[in-house]
Amino acid sequence: MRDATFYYIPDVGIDNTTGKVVERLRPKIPVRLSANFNTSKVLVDCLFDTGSDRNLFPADWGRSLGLKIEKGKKVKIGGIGGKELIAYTHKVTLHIQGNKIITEADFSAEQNTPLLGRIGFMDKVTEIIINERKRYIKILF
Amino acid sequence: MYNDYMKVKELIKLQNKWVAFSKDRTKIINKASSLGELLKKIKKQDDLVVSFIHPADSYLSP
Repeated sequence: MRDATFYYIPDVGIDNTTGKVVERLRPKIPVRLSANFNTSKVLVDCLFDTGSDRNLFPADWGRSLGLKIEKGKKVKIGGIGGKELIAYTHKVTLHIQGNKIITEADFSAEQNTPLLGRIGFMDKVTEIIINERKRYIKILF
Repeated sequence: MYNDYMKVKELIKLQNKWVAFSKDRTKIINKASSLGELLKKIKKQDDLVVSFIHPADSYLSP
C-alpha cells in the first residue's frame, strides 16, 4: 500500500495577546487536478477539512481546465455560520503524489480556499492519520 | 519539513493573494488577486505550487 506524508504548510496569523505576526501552520495538501481531458500544470494547495462534507474548489480552477462550471449539477453548500453558497458538481481526478483519485468536486465562484472533504476524498483512501502535535497528515492510498 | 519555506515576514506581504511558489516554496514566482488571474500569468510554467495566503487577522473556519 502506498502512503504519503504531508507536513502542515506555514500561513500567517496575528497573535491575539501580543499583536505580533506569527506562523500559523495549516493542513494543506498539494493537488494536481484533471478534468475535461485536461490536467493542471501546477499543484494547488487544498485545505484538508474534516468538517467539509465534500470537495469544494474555486470555479477558476475548473475553468482553467476548460470546464463549463454552470453546466454541472447545481448544489447548495451551507457553511457553519449559516452562509449558503451555490456550487456545481463535476467529475475530476485528483493527483496526489503519484496517486490518482477519480471522484467528484463542487466548484463555486464564491469559494476561495480549495477544500478536500470527507465524501470524494477521505472516503476514497484507505486510512488517514492526523498528528496535530507533529503537524502532519499521513495518507495510505 | 517546512523549515525552509517562505518565512512569515515575507508571507505577511502576500495575505489575501494567490501566490505561485517554486516547488520547494522558497521563491515567489508570481502572485495575483484571483486564482484565475494567477493561472493565466503562469501558463508556461511547470512544477509550481499555488497557494492562497489567508488574511493574518482572522482564524480560518471553512
